[in-house]
Amino acid sequence: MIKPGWMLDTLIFWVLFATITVAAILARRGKVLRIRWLPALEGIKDGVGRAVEMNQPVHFSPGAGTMLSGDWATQTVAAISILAYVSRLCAKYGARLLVSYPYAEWLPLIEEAYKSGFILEGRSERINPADLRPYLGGSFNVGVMRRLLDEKPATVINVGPIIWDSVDIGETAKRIGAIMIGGTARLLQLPYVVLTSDYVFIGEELYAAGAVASGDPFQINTVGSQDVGKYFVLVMLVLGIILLALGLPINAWLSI
Amino acid sequence: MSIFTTIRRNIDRAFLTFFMLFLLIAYPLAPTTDFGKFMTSWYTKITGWITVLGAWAIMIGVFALVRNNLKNIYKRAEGWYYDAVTIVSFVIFVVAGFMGGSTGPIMTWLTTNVTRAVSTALLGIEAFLATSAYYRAYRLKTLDAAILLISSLIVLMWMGPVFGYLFPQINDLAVWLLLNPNSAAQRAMFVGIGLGLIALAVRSMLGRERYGA
Repeated sequence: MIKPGWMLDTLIFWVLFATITVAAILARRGKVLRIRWLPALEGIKDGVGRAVEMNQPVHFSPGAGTMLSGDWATQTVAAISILAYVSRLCAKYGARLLVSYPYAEWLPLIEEAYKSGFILEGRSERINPADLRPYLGGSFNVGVMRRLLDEKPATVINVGPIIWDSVDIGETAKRIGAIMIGGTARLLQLPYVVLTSDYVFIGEELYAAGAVASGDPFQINTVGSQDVGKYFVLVMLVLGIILLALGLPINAWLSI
Repeated sequence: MSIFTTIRRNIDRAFLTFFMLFLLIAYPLAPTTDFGKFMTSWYTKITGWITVLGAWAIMIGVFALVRNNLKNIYKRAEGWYYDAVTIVSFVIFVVAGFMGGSTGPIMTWLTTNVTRAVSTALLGIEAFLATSAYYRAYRLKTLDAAILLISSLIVLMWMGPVFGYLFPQINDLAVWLLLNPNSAAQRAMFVGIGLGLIALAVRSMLGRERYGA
């Protein structure tokens, strides 16, 4: 019934999926898991505060690889959650928010996330559609670089499926003296993001950021319950090393 | 709240949950039994629909983009001339697309002489920006920075063939670095990213991942 070699993978996936779902539902009964606060979220707060003090804008971009499919789409979704958080902070403290994006198909969601913070904080008069600017496809990097040099934002946030915009945007941010906050779950680009950023959402932190920032117990439990999966992997690793050392056919067992 | 209002408010979430669960169940199934055949055939159909939905999303995005740009031009908003450039470029590419498709002579000319030329020039800038980033990051201030610097130098020397020729041990050391500490750290991160993805899927499916008001 299951494809050959997929039984164990499927079983592990459903166990983890069920654990995360149950933990999320338990939040309704008041059982909230404790999770650590992400330093990069603190960095966003500091960055918005700095922008207000310096009377300069905050710049947000969701990475140059905002595609509609696959892993990059999920990273874009996570980036848009962070945009909603940034928008709310900017509305609350009175900072101007500039958004640059590389593909038109995400515009409705980006527009919604941009407006949401201002509406929730009762500052809808500060919404300015001209602050949302497209730099489509290959023109994204150079467009954002030019915009950063022109507008001189105090804080630059580039999170999501980053391709090679990590270095371009990061270095331009340094050149104008801005705080740089980066983040991606693309391992190929992560070193460059770490290299050029002051605060970083590393890998899974990108997915967790929106949930952690929301403060919603339901969402927080989905993040906290991921630790069950990590402990499970750790146990499997240790067990695998021991069984392999004993000469047991563990590879054959794992490919059922 | 009436039952109809409840249905109307939750119908999108219900559809999303249904299709996500269906795809998750059908994905690992083999078409060896009647049930397996039924599930895999519908899986193929639904993934085909996703392509159509993607095309619609692009259309909605393009309409929203044109609307926003035209609004900015009409209101003479800050930087409105960039919006005018976007609209003109958009029209040129759409016309080129209709006259011969994506592989037609006009589109090929535009791609070769405009898009590719600009992209290549941009890629050239990359080397200088990356060098300045490395210069700032690779300073021997802490133990971590020292480890990073030494490992990077070893891999860099491995990439430059002359060093491998002069000091053959560099090759083994660089390959060991990439296959052991590097792979171990990457796999650990993959586990975290995979779990984060599942959690994001659960939140999206239950309609709790918020993007707006």
